[in-house]
Amino acid sequence: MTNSSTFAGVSPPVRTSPPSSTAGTLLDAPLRYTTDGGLLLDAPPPDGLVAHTTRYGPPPADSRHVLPALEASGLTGRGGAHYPVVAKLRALLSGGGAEVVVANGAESEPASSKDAALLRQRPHLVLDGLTVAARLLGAGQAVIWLHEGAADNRGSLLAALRERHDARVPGPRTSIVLAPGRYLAGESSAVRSALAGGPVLPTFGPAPGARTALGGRGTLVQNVETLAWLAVLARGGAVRPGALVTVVADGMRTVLEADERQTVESLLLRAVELPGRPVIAPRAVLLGGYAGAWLAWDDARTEPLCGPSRSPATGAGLVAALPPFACGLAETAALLAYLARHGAGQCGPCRFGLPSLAGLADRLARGHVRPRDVDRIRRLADEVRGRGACHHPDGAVRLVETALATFRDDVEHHVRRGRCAYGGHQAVLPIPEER
Amino acid sequence: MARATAPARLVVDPVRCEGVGICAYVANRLVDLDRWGYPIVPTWPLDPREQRAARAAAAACPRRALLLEPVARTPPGVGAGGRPARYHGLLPHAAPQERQTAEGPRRQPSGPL
Repeated sequence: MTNSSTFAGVSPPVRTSPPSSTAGTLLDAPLRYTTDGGLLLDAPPPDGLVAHTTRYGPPPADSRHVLPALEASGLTGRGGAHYPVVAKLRALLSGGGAEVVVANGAESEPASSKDAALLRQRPHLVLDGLTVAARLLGAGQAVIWLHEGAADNRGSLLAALRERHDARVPGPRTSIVLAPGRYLAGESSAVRSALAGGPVLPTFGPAPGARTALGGRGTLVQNVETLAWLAVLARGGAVRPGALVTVVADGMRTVLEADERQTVESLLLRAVELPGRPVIAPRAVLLGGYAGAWLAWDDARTEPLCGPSRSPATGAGLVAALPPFACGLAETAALLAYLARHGAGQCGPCRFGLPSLAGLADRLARGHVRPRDVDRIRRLADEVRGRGACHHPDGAVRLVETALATFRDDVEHHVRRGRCAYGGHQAVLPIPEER
Repeated sequence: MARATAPARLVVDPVRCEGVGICAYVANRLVDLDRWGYPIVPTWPLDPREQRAARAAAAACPRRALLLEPVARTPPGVGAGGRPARYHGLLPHAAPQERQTAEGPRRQPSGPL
């Protein structure tokens, strides 16, 4: 438990985030959603082709400078894994390029809307990135991979594609493919498997960017935000890529572009800052996604989103604030139960391990535990980690281990007294309805 | 034979593996079973003697879920394993976590195989 003074209202920031050359590259203003991601409040209009060209300049003519620019920028995949883009491209190039390039817009993170916001506001930038990648890898086809529920994104992409067709903007043959709405349907090996005619399930393979069966050449799968940054870099601008982040706090979702040097605190304040309204400091923040990592608020105040040697802390771009009245253990139990239900059910350690972990976490949240059960959680976590075909179990393990560390005092309270100091089993973060 | 001495690791394809458990009988010093019966294999490169045992275990697996993977097969820009360097680590918690992952719950096999 962080100390109780965090309950007090904290006034809006005195210092504002430092001005940066990269801020506002992808999104110039924060976009606000309701917590369930439905309603979009007072959003600026999306860029059409004309507005897009005015903002970013004409599409990049060739892709010769792309690899050096990528290398210099250190751009990593923004789907969550932060795999270096240049390594993926080089691996494919050494195997003769790619047959298909895929823009992965199947944003499975339940509380995240950054890909949806990007596809709504800047569809042409994503399509530019897709064109650059296709040209670089000699791919004649491009696929935009969306969840079947993403009707808005599909509409804006179709409109953008039609505009490009009418204006004769060169590009690969592009199709929009709708994936099932499941959590792991956006996992990149599942995307490759599906496009090669297999099931939409993660597969066990050597590395991202490795060659797959499709046409004997590889398939490039990149998150839509990664492609947008690729399009910006290919235009020759010397930018240091920021990151799109969904901040879940104060009963709303805010998508904004973060500078990776800024602290979690300044990001959160920028997201919830409204004139004349005090900001209530959260107890802790969940970083990266539902399979992310908890960080106590006191650490979050100084923690930069991206340290000098670390990959961005943003993972899949989620920063969720745990309100001061909420129980972090109850939240963790609810998230773990969600992750356990949404595994692909393929790999034994994950199929059996996650429900066991979720069950123990639930008992811990309710206070029905003995001290040795906490050790059982730790041992189970060790047994599950790294043993799935995809990183789904690793994320769940990270969630529970960071919860045990961050909410150390709560764990003791739950174990000793059999109840929560915060009085709630009610989870606060939105968990989507079962389909 | 050059092939026998080339460094290799034992990998489980967790999608194929059904937890039959024959591998743990065939190579009982190399493969452990977890509480659900799924194999835990060493992550380090195997010496020739271990490789023989690993090959026997792979051959015995009815699901063909065990692979002997050459260690050198690493695409450029990827971490030392065959798989990508993992970025779980987001935070201060992450650094020790990552080290734990690299070492894993492994036990060095004792005695000759």
